[in-house]
Amino acid sequence: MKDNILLRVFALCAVILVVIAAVAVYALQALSRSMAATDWVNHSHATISELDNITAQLRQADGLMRTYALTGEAADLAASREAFEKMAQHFDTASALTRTDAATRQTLLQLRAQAAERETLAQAVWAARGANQGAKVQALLAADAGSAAVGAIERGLGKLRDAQFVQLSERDHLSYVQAQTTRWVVGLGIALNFLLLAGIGWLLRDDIAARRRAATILTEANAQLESKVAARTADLQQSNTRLESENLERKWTIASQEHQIRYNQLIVNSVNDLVFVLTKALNVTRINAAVVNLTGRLDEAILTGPLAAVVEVAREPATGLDPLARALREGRELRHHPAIVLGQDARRIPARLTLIPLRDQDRVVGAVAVVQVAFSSPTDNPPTP
Amino acid sequence: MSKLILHIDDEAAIRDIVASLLTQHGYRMCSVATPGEALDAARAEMPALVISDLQLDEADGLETIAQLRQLDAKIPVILLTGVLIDPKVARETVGRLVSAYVEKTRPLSEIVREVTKLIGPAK
Repeated sequence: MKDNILLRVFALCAVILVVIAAVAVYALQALSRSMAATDWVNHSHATISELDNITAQLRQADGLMRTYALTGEAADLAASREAFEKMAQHFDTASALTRTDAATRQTLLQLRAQAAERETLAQAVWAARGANQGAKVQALLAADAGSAAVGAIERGLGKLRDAQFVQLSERDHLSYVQAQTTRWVVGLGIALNFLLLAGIGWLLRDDIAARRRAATILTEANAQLESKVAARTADLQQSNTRLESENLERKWTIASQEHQIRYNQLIVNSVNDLVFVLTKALNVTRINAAVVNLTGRLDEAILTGPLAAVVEVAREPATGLDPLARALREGRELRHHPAIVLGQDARRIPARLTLIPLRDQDRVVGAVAVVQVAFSSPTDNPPTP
Repeated sequence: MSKLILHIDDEAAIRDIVASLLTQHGYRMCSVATPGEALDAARAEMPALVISDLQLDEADGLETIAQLRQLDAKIPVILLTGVLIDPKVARETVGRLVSAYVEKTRPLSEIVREVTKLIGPAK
């Protein structure tokens, strides 16, 4: 979308440049035409001026010719000659100014020919008067059409002058139309450029609006993401706290159990009586320190072995059965039963044994045998198994 | 500043766990191993609460508590011990000497509950 808008903006800018260039070219052309028209107007005015001068010089020259004919003064002759020369010069100038206008030039040549006839007459008059031939002068002037011939030339010159004014009028109208057209072209070009600039502005505004919408959407998405991240972080922190608490609780449980086991072991070991933990088959699984101290045997020599290897118990006289096995089988306690503790050095130490069955959910799984050695008192008479 | 708790126990593992627990709840902890260290710490800054084990290396917990109460007669004390005593017996014997009796076999949340009950939240 961004690229499309950029392309459109560039395209509109290119169109604006083209319009500006076209208007500038047209305006330059109009300016050139206007300058050319100005030259032409000046040229026409110069032509009209020359035509007026021809008329004036023709009248003056004709008048001075007649004056000389009357006075015979050299000054009048010179003035007359000069007037004719000036008239000829004005004709030359007028011919040069109308060289591109064949019809006017042709008419001007005809008028010049008529004026030349006047000059020829004047030369004849000047010669006759210079020779003091009054009759000849009189005859020449009498034969001359006079003011009628001059009037014909003047009318011809007047028509040319009128034609020049008509052309000037037409040129003025054309110049006005051209100026109006130029104004319209420039105005339309400016208006078109404003429209194109408005189009660019609209496109840019649309693009900015789209960017703002995109930025808003991005901001909202970021906010949502941050919210989710914050929620997730909070969840993780909560989970972490819970795990830390659970871990601490687990450590606490282990430490307190170890402490308890150690404490219990301390209590058991501090008992002076011999304590045996037995399986149902009367094998030893655990003993206290008093057993090792009294028997002189190491733990490894006693543990997992039969109790009978350490403590000897007399069988029942009537049945010949082991009283410990029987009590355990029947799930009952056996208290203060005579026994002999067998020391490592073959010592036989009289004692009394108490057997307590160990129950797990009403099921006998083993027993604890506590053996009290009966030698602490001199009056104590240990039983014989 | 948060409330200070003085914990006396000769087992480093127990001290670490209780310190972690109560620090998490915002309390400041001073954990010591012997009654002598406990008295020194209490003289430096009197704690808001004392947690003590019953059996210590140099003396028993009850004796240490008595010495601490010579510094502050009203200081609340929790006896935290692994020596299991019948609850009824505990209430009637050590219960008269301490503010609360908690066995080490109880969950940690019980320690936090007793602490909060005795001195309130950390701040």
